[in-house]
Amino acid sequence: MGALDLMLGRPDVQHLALTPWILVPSLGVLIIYSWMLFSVVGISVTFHARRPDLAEAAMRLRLTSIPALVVFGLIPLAVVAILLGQYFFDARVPAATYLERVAVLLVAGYGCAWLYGRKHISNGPALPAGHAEAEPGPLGLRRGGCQGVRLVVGMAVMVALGAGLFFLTAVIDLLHHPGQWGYVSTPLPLVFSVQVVVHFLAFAAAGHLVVGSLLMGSTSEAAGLDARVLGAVVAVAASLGAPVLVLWDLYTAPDQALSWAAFGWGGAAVVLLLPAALVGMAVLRGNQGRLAAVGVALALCVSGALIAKHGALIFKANMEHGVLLATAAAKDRAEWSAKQEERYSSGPADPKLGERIFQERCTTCHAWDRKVVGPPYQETIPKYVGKEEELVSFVRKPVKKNEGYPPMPDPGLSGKEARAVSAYLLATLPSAAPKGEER
Amino acid sequence: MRSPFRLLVLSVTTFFLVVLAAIGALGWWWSDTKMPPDQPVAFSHMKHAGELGIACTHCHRYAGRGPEATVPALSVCMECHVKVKTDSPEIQKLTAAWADGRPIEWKRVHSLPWHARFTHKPHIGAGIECTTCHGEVAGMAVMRQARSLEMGWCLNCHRQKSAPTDCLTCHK
Repeated sequence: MGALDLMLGRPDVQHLALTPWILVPSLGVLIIYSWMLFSVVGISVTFHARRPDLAEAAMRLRLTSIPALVVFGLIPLAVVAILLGQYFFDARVPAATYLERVAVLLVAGYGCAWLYGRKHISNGPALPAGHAEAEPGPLGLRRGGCQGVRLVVGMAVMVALGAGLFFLTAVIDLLHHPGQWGYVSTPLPLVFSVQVVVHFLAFAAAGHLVVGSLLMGSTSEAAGLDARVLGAVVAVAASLGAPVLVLWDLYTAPDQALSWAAFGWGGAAVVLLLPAALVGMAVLRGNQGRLAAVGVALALCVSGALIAKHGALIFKANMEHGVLLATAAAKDRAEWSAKQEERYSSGPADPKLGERIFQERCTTCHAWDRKVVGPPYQETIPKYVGKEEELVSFVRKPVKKNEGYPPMPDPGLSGKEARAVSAYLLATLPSAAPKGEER
Repeated sequence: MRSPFRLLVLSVTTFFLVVLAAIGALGWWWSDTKMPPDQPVAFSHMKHAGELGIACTHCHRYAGRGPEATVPALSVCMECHVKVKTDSPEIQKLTAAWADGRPIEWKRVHSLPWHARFTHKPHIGAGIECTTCHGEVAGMAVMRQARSLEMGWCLNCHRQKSAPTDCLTCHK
């Protein structure tokens, strides 16, 4: 079993304990960044014909650059796909097909965003509408043609990203409906549930809030002033809509997913949204560009709080599933190493090891001559004389044999330990038999 | 006469405070009615069902035999705990109750409303795993309700498995 196999398919307890700490922030970066991308491309597409200066201001945020795409988009996507794959591994839910669709749509969206950014930047500063240009732009298209292509590519970005994010939200929502894992055969019943839509819109609001706040920091030329106003409008709209979405989300969340942490983070998000709204309103009123930095900080904190709330909702179900995955993985590993041992070890069983295990583990419940919790050894071990292999397999996988006693729990011994203790018990049997019975 | 802007700030702040209060009220209602209860003894299913691999029906003995799965009597716990880990304060609560002849007063986790009749026996008989409806108990340190137990959820499975969906099946 290779290390990669263990890590991906059969992670151990340490790996799984780390998973939520990596999954939730990666999801946060992925979702918020993708929504920010959606937002700037949306603004650019909306305004490129009538207000190219505003379209320019949106693209000047450089979210479509390759480093940004790779660092905030592709790397978190890969991490999320691997970790979600671990959680759904062995669960009978075809989440893999949703993850594939999500990945394809998001990668397509990022690709189109890169293309859109390149076209925008390579086109140079935007000209006011109605200006003819004689020289063809890149790709040999003329200016008017470029506008059309830009529109098409921009719409493709928004459709791909929007659809990818919708599917991703649906997959994540599966994480707090563990009861569905055995039943989901098509995505439709879950995808169009109210909660998925509410989450989708809440994350959209967070992404637009960050972009609006960033735009509020545009420089103070005439175009910058309007960009600041646009940013403030977007930020205020997002920060007024988001609290309702947070409340609605907590209302529609399944009871079994809720916890104090979920309510706490939801409340924190709303508390942070109030100053964000007030900053936006202040910028609209007095155009105080300085407040933009405060707005951006608040927007990022709100996004963090929303992601943390989501993490709190998926925490319990996933911790439990993680424990089971780790137990199954530990059993698999133990079986595999037992097979290796049986194949390669040839020495006799170590009697000292056997005696130590007997003292440490068996005497809790067993004695030779009386019942403690389990039956006395002088009754049970004689049945295994000449059948050491049977005793070894019983010790490794106890089954309930005797109605009068509770079931023997799995002592968790390796093959070597089980052979050692079985050999010790069978060897000790003659001397442990009480003197009176030897007649 | 307040300026319109100050009025706007005031209304926005009020709106936020109303939403916050609503979230607080929702949280209070949840903790009052839906939060997993604190139990008198810190029993861990993760330890017993998970690590030790004890089967569900060893303790919840009547699941396959009647309407209620039942919570085990103290005698079941004492089968092992008369000797195992007797130095733990939680086990000592068990021993004290055993000596006094009184039961442990477990708080019920799964309750259905009075108008819904549910029996375990036919479900176990149909081969449904305990974890399907009770969640991954072997992973739970503290027992909680892990499924909604709402009618729609029950009906989903009944339809998929061609079980009766007639009203009188459950509403008698």
